[in-house]
Amino acid sequence: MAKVHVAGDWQALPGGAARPDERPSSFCEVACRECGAVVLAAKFSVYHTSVQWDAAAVRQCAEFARAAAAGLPTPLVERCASLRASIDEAALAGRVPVAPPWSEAQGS
Amino acid sequence: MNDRTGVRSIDAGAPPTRFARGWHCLGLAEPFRDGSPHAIEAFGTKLVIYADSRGDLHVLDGYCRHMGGDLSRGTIKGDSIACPFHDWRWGADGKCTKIPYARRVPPTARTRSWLTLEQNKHLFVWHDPQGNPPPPEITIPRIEGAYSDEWSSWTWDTLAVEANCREVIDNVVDMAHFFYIHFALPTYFRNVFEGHIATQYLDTRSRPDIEAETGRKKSGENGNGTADGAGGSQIGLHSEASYYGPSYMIDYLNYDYHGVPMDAVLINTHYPVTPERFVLQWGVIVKKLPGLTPEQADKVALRFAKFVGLGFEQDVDIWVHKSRIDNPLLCAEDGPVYQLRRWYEQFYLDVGEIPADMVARHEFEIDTARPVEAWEAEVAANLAARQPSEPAVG
Repeated sequence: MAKVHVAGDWQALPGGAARPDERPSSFCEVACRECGAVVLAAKFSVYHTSVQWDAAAVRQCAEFARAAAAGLPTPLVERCASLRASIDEAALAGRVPVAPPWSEAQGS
Repeated sequence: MNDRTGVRSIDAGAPPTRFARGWHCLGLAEPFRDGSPHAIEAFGTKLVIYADSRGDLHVLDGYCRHMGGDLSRGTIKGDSIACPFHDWRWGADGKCTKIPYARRVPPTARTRSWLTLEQNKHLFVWHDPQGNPPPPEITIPRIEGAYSDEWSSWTWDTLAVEANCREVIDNVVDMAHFFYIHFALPTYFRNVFEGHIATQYLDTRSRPDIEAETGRKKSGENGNGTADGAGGSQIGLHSEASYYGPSYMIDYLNYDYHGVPMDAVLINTHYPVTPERFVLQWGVIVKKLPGLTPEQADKVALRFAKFVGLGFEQDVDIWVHKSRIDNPLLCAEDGPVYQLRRWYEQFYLDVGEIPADMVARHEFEIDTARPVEAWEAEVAANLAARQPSEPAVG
């Protein structure tokens, strides 16, 4: 299994209201099958999906680039379908654990 | 977060001492052009809004730097606002333009002028504690319907709320409250946060158990319920709502009203008055259904706005009674409250202090299967309890 990150690698900010999500999540690296962009993905169930991108992955995403070329800024793109399919594939292959928070299967 | 006996504590925290950086909508632009100055209490102070001789709107600090007179109670003279106390005149750039009884204007006679923007027929001011202008990409997008004859005019409502404005922001990720507070049954719920934009994608259908209740109340009223029927049965809703910055949300709504598609745009916006008080504002335009006159379309918009207003009143009733909570206790079927708040925190930090991951793209899609199952069962039980002789609608 790829490197597991807690809460999408977020750090709590000192004194700020911004804190990591308390729900234990196993974020794993997934590479998109279309463009190779690497994100962190976690799943509480087969359907639930949580994705943390970084700027490099957003720049690399082919679907976002096509949307931007058509005049739709990336923040307004609902999802990259290729990436979602890649995450679902990784989950099916056991590379992203599918487990609700606090479950045995999640192991965190 | 739990004490020795296992009891969870609420960390109420404290509202931020500064106000968010960003464009803040102060209302519809046109009413500010009535020839009089207008006062707005915001950002811990008072602002004055006035139109110059060309009709351009300007926003200055409300208190005259001379002896503290209230400029919003003064008069517009030419392109300046004149203080009611000693007639000192202040121009759009904040400079004192004239003191009628003085030989010369003191060189330090300058007050704060706020950067303004008109978009979608709304007036905005830029607030930045660091005093910088917005970068070009931080702007308010144009809503085509606001400039189209095929759409109604804007409705506009305001409501002062005694709470910190983070409460209204939290709604972006709060799927379950739609069922309990707004009587809609969410079937799809997804959030995307990236840069200064936070979006909620939402599908709901209305609750037949609530319709059965309000349907009785409505009997006798005219049955042409378009907008207020948004709470009725067989109405599907697809909503895409984005905050552009900390306070201006554009919500594109597509209703399926008994097979008739209806398009509306809802603005949900606010400005802070103090750290514990904000003014909530909402406005609606609806796309005219074929055959409707402009007046009829405006009427539909008004009815829809009234319906939206009821929803906000339900929210406000919760907000003014609840505790501020910095450590919400979440289940798997809740939305990304912490991630949203992390996104929102960017507006309270100096630009140079914003960490990259705070504005990096985050997506969170709830699995609605379990919530929908539970809510459908609750609806069926409510219907069965109310109408024992009729079969329940699942």
